[in-house]
Amino acid sequence: MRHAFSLVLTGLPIALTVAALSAAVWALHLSAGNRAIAALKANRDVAVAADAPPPVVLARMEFLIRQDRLTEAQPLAEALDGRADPRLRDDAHYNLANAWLRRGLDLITQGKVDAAGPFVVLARQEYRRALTLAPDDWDAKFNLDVASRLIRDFPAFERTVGDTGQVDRKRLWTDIPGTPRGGP
Amino acid sequence: MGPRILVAGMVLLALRVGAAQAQPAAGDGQAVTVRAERDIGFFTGDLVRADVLVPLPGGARLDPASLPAPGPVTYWLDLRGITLTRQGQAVVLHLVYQNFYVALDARRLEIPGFPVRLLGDGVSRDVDVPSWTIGVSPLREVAPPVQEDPKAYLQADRLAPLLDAGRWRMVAGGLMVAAILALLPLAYHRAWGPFRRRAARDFAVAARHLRRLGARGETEAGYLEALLILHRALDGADGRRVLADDLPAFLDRHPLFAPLRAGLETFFQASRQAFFGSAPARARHQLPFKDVQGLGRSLAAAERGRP
Repeated sequence: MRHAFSLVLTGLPIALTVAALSAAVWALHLSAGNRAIAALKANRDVAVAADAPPPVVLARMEFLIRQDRLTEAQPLAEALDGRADPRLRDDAHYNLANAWLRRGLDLITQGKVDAAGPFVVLARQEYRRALTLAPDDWDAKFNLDVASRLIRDFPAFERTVGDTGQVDRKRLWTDIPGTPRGGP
Repeated sequence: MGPRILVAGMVLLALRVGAAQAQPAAGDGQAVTVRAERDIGFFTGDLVRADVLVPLPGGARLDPASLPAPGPVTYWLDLRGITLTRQGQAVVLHLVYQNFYVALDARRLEIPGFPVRLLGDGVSRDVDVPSWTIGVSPLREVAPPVQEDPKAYLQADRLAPLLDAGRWRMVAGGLMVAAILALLPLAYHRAWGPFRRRAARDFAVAARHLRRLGARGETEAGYLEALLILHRALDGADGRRVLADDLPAFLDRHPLFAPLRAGLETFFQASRQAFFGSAPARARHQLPFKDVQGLGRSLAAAERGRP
């Protein structure tokens, strides 16, 4: 009994100190993340590991999008899908979709309508993924509407899952939208 | 119509007409019904929820493998989830679809039906869940005001948030304070730091007693008591009896009191005369009560020189 009492008296401060130190280490880790975010927002090219805290990855995407390095931003959105909370993943896909769509709109403004097509399709896919994550994302709904008026969905391009898709040999390439996504 | 709109009216008819062979046990009076929370006003991205009531005649059960798998249904519709609940002699399928149709005008779209298989008594038969329609609505005007740059039509990007470091700093601070507070009982338990017992202030106590004794007026008995008080204080300070002959050794051990050597020698002489020489009067002459008090105060002051 007395032994247990002593043990509790000794153990409690030790446990609390360990907990306080862990919290402090975690706070320092988050502060480092915040510094990286601030640097990225100030347009400095800070390297970010794929397993960095999600807001840091999101800031990196923001930076890459500002630099128009969209093919580098795309895999980061995919990397977030595995672990970040749906709201942040939604933001990642939404921002990426906006970037693709802006590129498409720029090409349309320059009169290169055919070249714009793939980017608009990519944007629509990203909006759809954003809406899958957050069905009440009104910005994504609105911008998907904008993108959809440029290129409509056609029933011929039905989405399929697994091996249920039927390949028509004559039309094998017709519904490939353009640049493959991801990629090296 | 109630809060739940029954979209199955026309569907019921279709069942009666087209599904005669699909329901060999027709005549039980029950049909598959679809109940949707609403059937109009769906924007792109909205979730479409529907409950499908499938009656189970004669103890049949639903084959879970015959249910549609979540995933794309048509190019504009995804099935997101399907759950089952039992409701008496029926099973209810809770379906959640997501609509991705971008409408230019309000229009009705058909959500396709699907067959489910009922198992019972070694026979299986298919029952059709009827198709039903939802009304989709446009989100924007058909011809929005013309913008110079088409990018101006878009809603803005969302900025990356900052990490919540401040809250964790507060948590760390709070835990640190808690740890320090938890240290207090331990320090008390183990007599550490502020809870270590301090060395007694023997002469301070003695000086206080002497003052109180002096206030009661000077008598011979009082004088002897005063001498005894100082003796006990010396004993306490040294942790052993201190007699006249021990004085040099005492001052060696406690150099703090060395400046008072003369006063202490006088005190011991007076004490010897008072107690062993049976001449308190001479002792009082040699060391008056006032001087005993003074010596006590000096000793107390010297005592404050150590922690």
